[in-house]
Parts: sequence; structure tokens; C-alpha cells
Amino acid sequence: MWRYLFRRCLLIIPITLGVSFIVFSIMAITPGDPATMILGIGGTQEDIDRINQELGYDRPFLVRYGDYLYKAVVKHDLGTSYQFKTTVWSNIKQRLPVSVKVTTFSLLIASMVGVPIGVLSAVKQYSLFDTFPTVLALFFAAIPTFWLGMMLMLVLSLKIPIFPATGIASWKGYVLPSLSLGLPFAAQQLRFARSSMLETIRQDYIRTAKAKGAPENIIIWKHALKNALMPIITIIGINFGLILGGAVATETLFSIPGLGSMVVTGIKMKDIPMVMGGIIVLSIICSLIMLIVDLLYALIDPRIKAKYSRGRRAAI
Amino acid sequence: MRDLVLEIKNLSIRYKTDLETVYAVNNISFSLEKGQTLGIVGETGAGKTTAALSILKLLPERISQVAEGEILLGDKDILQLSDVEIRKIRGNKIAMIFQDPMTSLNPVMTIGEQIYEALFFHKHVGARREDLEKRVDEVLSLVGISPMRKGDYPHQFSGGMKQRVVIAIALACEPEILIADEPTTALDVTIQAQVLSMINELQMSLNTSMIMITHDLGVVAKTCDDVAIMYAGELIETGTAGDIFCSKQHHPYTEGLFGSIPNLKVEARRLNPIPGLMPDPTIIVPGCKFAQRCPKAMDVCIKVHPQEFVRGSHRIKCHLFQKGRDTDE
Repeated sequence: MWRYLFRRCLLIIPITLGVSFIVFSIMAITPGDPATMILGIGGTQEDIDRINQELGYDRPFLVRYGDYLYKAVVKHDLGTSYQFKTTVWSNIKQRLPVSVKVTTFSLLIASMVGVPIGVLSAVKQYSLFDTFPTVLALFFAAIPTFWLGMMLMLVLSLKIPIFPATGIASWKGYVLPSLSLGLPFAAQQLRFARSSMLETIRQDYIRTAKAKGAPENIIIWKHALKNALMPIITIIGINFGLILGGAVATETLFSIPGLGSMVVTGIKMKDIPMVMGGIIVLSIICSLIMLIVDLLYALIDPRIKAKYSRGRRAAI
Repeated sequence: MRDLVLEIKNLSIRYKTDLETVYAVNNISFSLEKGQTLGIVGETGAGKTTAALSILKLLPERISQVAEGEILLGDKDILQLSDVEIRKIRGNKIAMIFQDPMTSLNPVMTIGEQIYEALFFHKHVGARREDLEKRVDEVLSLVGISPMRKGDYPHQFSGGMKQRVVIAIALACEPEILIADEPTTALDVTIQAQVLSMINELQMSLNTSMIMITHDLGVVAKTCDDVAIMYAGELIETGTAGDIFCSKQHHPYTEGLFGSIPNLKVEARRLNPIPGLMPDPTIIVPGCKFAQRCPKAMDVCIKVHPQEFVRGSHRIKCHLFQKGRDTDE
């Protein structure tokens, strides 16, 4: 088990290196250069060349990438933002906790709403407990997040002023963004929980449990759910990465300084150190989340645990 | 007076979907005596498992429907019981061994826990955990598994061992009736013999009544006191094991079943199956359901549903033995 854990942690290194190379390449081959973005339309060619030289952007691609890696790995320096002139690390340090909080709250809401309702609608298939949540889930999965955010803002902060519309001065500021991010993901988890449960409650061992005289709630929550949990955990893990770096619309709408909007502005402004720093941090966190998901598998299913211990499973 | 523990009267079960109605079990009656074993024999799709599951009310709720009949356990009709009442019977008075041990055990629970549960659901008020755990050890030793292994998960056991665990779960509460639904079908032949003789021994020592569902006449010969032959949802021949294996009069289907067993003493190139297939269970035919495949079919067989011919304990549902004909032999 420990060997498996160690190997999986080692695997994060090549993954991160690969991600950094791909992102660096994309930033290099897309048109435009940092100086033009900094100076705006009015800059002369002379100024542009000078600033690009100052930033080191005039050097060949591989030299720049090597230089970036050297500084990042050896000197633990992720560089300085072209646009803000502050260090990338200070930006990340400021924004990462905010993003992690929003993501965690959203997923808590999503799984606390989605999973139990999904289980219920599987158990009561074709009844009102099934069709009503299904229709509702379809609705929440279909509407855009920013629209849901605006509606929440309109109702819960303008009409009935309970929560602030923007900013994260107190815990109240996290409620609306987490809701508007969480509800669509709740819909997704509901669908996953439902289909996974439907498959599980048709298994022979559920019939065995019934034949033993087990009460229905024990059959559902003990015998079935534990077996149905794998796809649900997987989707929660994937959702974590998605929200952490991809909640740009919601972050913009609620004026939350998160990682997603940082990276997107960085891309627009050709702010290469900012983009690189943000995405490398995101990819490390996503790798760790996937590792946690795999460890949870082992916790749930003794068959997978046995595989890990024998060290036969090395892939992500 | 025979000591009946279970009596099934005129039971009919249908599966209803939007598209069609499947007549799975049609008007069957049989009874089970204390300490005896009844074998229900028939080919795949004959309705054996449906009949067995109905005894525990384990049929899929939405589509199955018991059209008529009674299942009497003592003086209670199981079909009329509420969910809470039937739960007290399941695993406690009537237990079931399922066909496929590979899928019958929960993969994420230890076998000890799975046996413990069966006891826990039916424990007496005030029973302590240690007592139940002790009983788990007892039951495991009974089926020949070391109690040391109760912390292991199903995937750590072989098929035969898993079936032993399934049997341990079924026997944990010492049920009055054990329903074994093809308990050896999924096992290889050597393990089959082991498991069968173990079931038999345990049944003897606990004086449990048993319904053995199988398509294997060898299993029936080895284990059963009474035999019921099922075809297309009907019991076409019933009797004691002696009636079925020694009597000269048989339903042509039963003859076909015996005929399809390979005989080691006779040199034969191929197996001798019954030609044709079972009739479509969604269609009700007026005559005998076996008529289409029957080598002795007469005109009357296609038109009229045969009555039961009774001689002592032996009952055959066939026109060949109707009144006036039974004196032929």
C-alpha cells in the first residue's frame, strides 16, 4: 500500500512536467507577444522590442522554457506577473484558498443534494420521487451557471437581502457562488447516483440480503450504496478539478478572486508566468485529488485494495 | 396425517410488461412435509425459480403478479403478509440458497459480517453481540470453513467455498424450510458432490424441510424424497422418488428427460435430447403444452387440457393415462 502511494506521488512529477511543457508551447505558438499587450495599441515597434527583450521573450522557445523550469525547480521562483509586476506565487497564495473554499462548498452542496436524491429516485424508480427530481435535474444541468448565479443574486440578495451580491468579506459571500456552482453539479451527481444505484439494486447479493430478512433501509444504505459509490466518487473527483480552475463565469459574476479568472486574464494578456503558475498548481492539485479518489476506492472495495497491495496497478 | 410445513395451492404467477404478459407459473400445487426434501425438476424457463421466489415474496415487485393461489406456512398465507411480517420469515423460518455463489455475496462486506447480519435481523431481544459472533463461528465450522476466515471478503474464496458461505447464511437461524435454487449448477462436478452431501447432512441433523430446485435428475435421485416435474409453468408429474424413478408409467416429457441422460452402458454417438423448444410463455394454449414436442401426441392433446391421473402418490397430467386407459398396464 505504501509503495503504491509513493509510486503514485512520484507520478505527479512527469505529469506536471508534461502539462507545463504543453502550456508553455501553446503560449508560445499562439499569436501576439507580451510587450504588445502591455503597451496597448499605441506602442512603437522600438518599445515593443525593448520590453520583449527585458522580459526575455526575444530568446528561442527552448531556452525560455529551460530558463523557466530552472527557476521554478531550483530557485522555487515562479516568476513575476507581466501585468501586475507582483510575483506569481503571491497571486496564487492569495487566490488558491478562495478557489479551494468555493469548490469545496459547491461540491458539498452538490453531493449532499445530488447523491441522496439520486439514491431515492433509483429505489423508487418510475414513481413521483423519480420523475420529479429527474426533470429538475435536467433543468439545472441545462441552464448556464452565470444565469443561475444572476437569478440567485436577484432573489437572495436584491429582493430579499440575505446574502451579499459580490465579494467574499464573510462566509455569507460564499453562499451564492457555491449554490450557483453546486446545483448544476448536484444534477449531474443525481444522475450518476441514480444509474449506479439502479444497476446495484438488481445484483444478486441484494436479493441475498432481502432473503436474509434485511430491512429496506439497511439494504439501500448499507448493502447497495457502498457498492454503488465508485462512479459517484469518481465524478466528484473530476468535478473538483473542473470547478477549481473552470469557475471563471461565476468568479467574474460574484467578483471572487479565484484561480480560474486569474488564468483566463493571464491568457488574454499573454501573461506567461501567471498562466504557467496557475495551471501547474491546478494540475498538481488535480493529480492529488485523483490520488485521493483512488485511495477511497481501496477503502470501499477490498478487491481494489488487494490489487494495490500487490502493486499491479500503476496507472492513474 | 402427514406433517405439512408448507402447502402451495393453485399458484399462478404472471409477469406483466407493457408489451406482453408472461404466464410463468400456472396453477401449481404441492406440499412439503417436515424433514422431507422435494425436488422440483424442469428445464430452463420452466418457472422453477419464479415459484421458489414467490415463497419468500422476492419476485420483482413492479412486473410480477400472483394471479391466484395460496402459499400456506402453517395457517398463514404468505402472500397476504405485510412487508414487516414477511421480513420476519425470510432467513428465519424460510431461507434460500441461490444459484450463483459468485454473485450472491456482497463483495464489499466480510463473510463474517454477512452471516452475522442474518442472525442480527432475527435475534431475540437481549441477545448479546458476543453470542451472535459465537454462533457465526459455529455456523462457519458447520459448513467446513475455519472461523479464522470470517474477516475475509468473498473474493478471497473459491466458488465452492463461497457456496458454503451462502449455505452458512441460509442455515444461520436454523430455518424450518430451506429452498435451494440450483445450488450446484455454477460449481464444477467434484465440488457439486461435496456441496450436495454437505447440504444433505446439515438438513438431516437440523431436520429441515427442503425444496431442491434443479434440472439435474442425478441430484434429485441423490437427495429427494418427493419429486415434481415442471414444464412450461405447470407441474406435469409429481410423486415420491420411487414413483418417478421406478414406476413404469410416466409423462412423455419425463421419459424424454430420462432419455436425454447419457447412458454409459450403451454405446451411443450423440446425446438424445427432446426435440423442439418450450412453448412461448406469453400464449395460452388450450391443450397440453407438451403436445407440440410429444412423440405420443393425439388429437385430444392439442384441444383439451389434460386432467391429473392419480395412482397413490403418483400424479401425471397426461391424456395417455385418462380413465379407462390406466388399466392398460
